[in-house]
Amino acid sequence: MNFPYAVSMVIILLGLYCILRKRNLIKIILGMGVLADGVNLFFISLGYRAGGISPVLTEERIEHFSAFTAAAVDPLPQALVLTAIVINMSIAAFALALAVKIYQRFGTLDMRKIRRLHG
Amino acid sequence: MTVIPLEWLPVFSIILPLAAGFILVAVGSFVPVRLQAWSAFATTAVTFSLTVSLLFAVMDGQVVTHQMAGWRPPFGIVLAVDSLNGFVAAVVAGITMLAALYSIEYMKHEGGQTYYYALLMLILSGMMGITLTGDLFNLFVFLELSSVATYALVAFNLDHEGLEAGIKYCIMGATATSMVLLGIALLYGALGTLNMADIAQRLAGERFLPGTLEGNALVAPLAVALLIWGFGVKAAVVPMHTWLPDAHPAAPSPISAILSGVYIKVGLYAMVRVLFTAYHVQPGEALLIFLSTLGVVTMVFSGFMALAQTDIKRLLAFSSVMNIGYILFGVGIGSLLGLTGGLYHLLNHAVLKSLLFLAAGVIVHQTGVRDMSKLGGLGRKMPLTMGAFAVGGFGIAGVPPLNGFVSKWIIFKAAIETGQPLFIFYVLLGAVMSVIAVAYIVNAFRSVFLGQLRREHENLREAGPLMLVPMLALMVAAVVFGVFPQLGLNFVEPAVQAALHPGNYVEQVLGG
Repeated sequence: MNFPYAVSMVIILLGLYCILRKRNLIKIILGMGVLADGVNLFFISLGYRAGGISPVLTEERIEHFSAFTAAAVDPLPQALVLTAIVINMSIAAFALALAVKIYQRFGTLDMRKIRRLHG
Repeated sequence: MTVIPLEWLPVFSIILPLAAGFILVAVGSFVPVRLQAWSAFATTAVTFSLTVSLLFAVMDGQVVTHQMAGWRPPFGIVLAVDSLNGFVAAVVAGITMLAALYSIEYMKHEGGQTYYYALLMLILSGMMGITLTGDLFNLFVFLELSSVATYALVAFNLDHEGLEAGIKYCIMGATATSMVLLGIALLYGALGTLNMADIAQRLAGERFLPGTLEGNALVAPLAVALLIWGFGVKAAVVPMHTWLPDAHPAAPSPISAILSGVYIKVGLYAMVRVLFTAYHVQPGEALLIFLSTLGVVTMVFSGFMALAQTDIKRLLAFSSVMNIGYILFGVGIGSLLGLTGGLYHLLNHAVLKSLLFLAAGVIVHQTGVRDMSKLGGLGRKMPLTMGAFAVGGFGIAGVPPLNGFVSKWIIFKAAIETGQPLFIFYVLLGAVMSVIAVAYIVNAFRSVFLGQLRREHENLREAGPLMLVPMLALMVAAVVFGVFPQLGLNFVEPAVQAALHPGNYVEQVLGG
């Protein structure tokens, strides 16, 4: 098991723990972010290569194409994670906006109390 | 026949509602609301006709592929439509169109209609994307797009119920989609591809990428477990269903019809696509038996829960979970007949449950009451709604000659044909649950439509024509698919063939 994978798994589990065990809505939303970041870190580290070079094709690199492909990092996970980060940001923004509405209406952010108030 | 080249149809099915959503928000403040509502309906109608022409084009086994920006698969994103996702897309777009038509009258006096229709367009675009794409990451993006739109629509009323259900659904849904992304990451790490046809080919040939995940026998099973978890939450499979009975009733009724009728089916479709195309599972495999078991647990648990409900929309929501169980049971049998039953039930449940939610919507709209104990005798005031509820309810419960009976019958027959004691035991459970379904539907029907009319409901009137037309269309569909099952099966059978023999899909996507 290599180190970045282990770390990202720990972060994912931490996020899941936070979502399942915390009562405060803000903490749950933070947990969602931690979970998503763990997944993103895992995805990024899949494309990592020790001593890799940037995956940008220049004139001189075309001449040594096989050497370039052997050393370049995988650019796709970075592009995908960039997309995933934007999506997670919008979900976090939406969840926080909902949290504001919930606080205005219920006067609390405690999920158990919200459930009890609703009955 | 069409002016648009065939390969552009899937692109337009996705782009059109997406663009309509943005335009609605942009012009919302200075265009009459009525016009916005009608143009939203027009968009869904055009999308539906696009998916129908797509479905007829792919019925004979052709796979329509569109390479985004001209990148050859497996490098670029590809939209690939075979008879399986063509079928699901047409069902999805059809139900959404009827719900949009119903919304025009239902939402007439509500605020925030611009956002309502914009979000409706986003759900449709997302569902089209999930069904029509041939790329796993693209599927994830569209899953998130439609998810965020559904979270917002569940909380749309901003009342106690909507806010609580919305945040609960948001938390569970976001966790689920993170799991989907993790599963996709694992597959990408092991195989180096996101194209579903390419994944299928590499998994079958065990061509793993050299690297850290290479030779790790756990990767593929772990990825499929994460994907089933993620899609299972979206499809509301017990024990991941807990958001649904809160979320579906909290949304405005046409949205409940879309969520229960088709949105949960899209999660199920994603599961079927990954399992049958990418993993190419065979009937009798442990994974499929596990899914069948999950389906039976789902239907037993939610059947009893439905029996205990007094809120009419909550009852219908639990009934949706129950029918997801039936579909999953059929799919999990994995045989030709099992999948036929499962996919036919997918179509039938989409028709019946949206009909039921639209009928319940009429009651909520006209009376403002959802508690069945506070209703009664509405049959004399709303005969058409009563008829719609009766057709939908008895269809769901599986009373012949309605369509729900046919598909349940096929599922049970498929299970008995396997000859395995476990499946025969499941059929017994399924039959018992059908009786329970009859019980809760009859109970709901009696307390809402029969008995003493309450004094405050004396002046009630039937819903307007714009709400009745979609219901009538669905009623006709329910009866026609029940009396002439071959009409529906004509579309289901090619879809089943596509699911069982992914070779054709793989070949045409990668070769095309």
